[in-house]
Amino acid sequence: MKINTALTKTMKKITTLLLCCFCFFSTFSRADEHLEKDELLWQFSLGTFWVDSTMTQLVGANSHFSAPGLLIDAKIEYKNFYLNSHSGDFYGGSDLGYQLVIEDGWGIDAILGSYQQPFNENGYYESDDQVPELAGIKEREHDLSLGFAYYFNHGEFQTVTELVFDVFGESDGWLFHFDTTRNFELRNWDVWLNIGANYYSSAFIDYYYGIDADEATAFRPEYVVSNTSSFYLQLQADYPIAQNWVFSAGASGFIYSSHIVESPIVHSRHARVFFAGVKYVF
Amino acid sequence: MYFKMISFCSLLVTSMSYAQTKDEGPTEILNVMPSKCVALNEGRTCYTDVKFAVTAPDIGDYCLRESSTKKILQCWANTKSFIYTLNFGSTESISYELISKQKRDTLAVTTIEVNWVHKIKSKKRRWRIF
Repeated sequence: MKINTALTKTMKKITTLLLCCFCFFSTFSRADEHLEKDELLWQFSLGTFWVDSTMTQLVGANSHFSAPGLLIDAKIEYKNFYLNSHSGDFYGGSDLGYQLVIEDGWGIDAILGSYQQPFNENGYYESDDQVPELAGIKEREHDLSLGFAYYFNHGEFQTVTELVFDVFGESDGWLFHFDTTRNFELRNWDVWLNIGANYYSSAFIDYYYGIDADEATAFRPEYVVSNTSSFYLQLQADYPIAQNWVFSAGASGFIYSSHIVESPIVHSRHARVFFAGVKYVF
Repeated sequence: MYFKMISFCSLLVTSMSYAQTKDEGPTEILNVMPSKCVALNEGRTCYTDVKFAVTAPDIGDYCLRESSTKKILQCWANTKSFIYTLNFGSTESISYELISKQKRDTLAVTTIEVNWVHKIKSKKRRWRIF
């Protein structure tokens, strides 16, 4: 265990160092190519969406959420940097990236983002009601993972693989992500089909679903989660209903590998989301 | 919370109605609806069914054609008003004109504008949700 921890910390340092070096040298070597792309590109969207989601269930906690909500999206690009921020629809979260290599059909980015939902003894969502079964567990915070993404196109598919380390979070773990997307253009509709998988290191997933000694009770034994996988399938459809207005609807299903339910705080390994709404694009 | 949501939805609906009514710009002889086609991204072919309504001052023989290519869409004989529906599909704006066969003259020109919603096309699509 100590060797693993030391190895993880070393990997984190190496990743951070490599990314810094790569960004530094890449910026200089490609400065000439991007002189003409110096303009700041931005796009904001504001809308309202109905989201119905069921998260992987924590014991005793409400994992179902169904309500209308506001959507605020932002995309900002400057030189090789980009920031994508989503809220409200089903692929929420923010990503900060730097395009290290841009070639025809493939590329490599340095990326920073979160991959895991936080929760605490009140469950996933902001609530003042403590869940008795979760009472006494420590706060599981967002990871803030840094790593590399390799993108490539093959035929009609766009595929991405990501290797990230939770450099700025609490888990000291890493994860490997893979997904492939097929875009169908059906007249003015865009339909996106996406299939993906994650492989979480033990340290990463254990931070969320493991039980430390100081959290253990008579009903909640100490538990270590081993390396874990997850798989998902997503479908989204976008339609331009008027100038600046887009209708979107989507569905997503997600599943962890079966041993996740052996954790004393996990009741189910499935999750799913449906959403539909409109947004105004500025 | 619900009041805010209802207010926001009302604002959305009002704005969308305004966006749609802007598409209905009438001309005297040649009316076209809608006059705008909106695609998600620049470069995408935009599809819409466009209805041309012609009300000419005199009975005669008329044709509708593309302005740039001069390709005839359809001609009508011995009439002063008619309606034509076009299955429009283009990546860029296209102008159409109404011509009189007798006078060999262009009576009216109208343009179907192709616009797009997103200024930035996402290079990457992030799908992390859980």
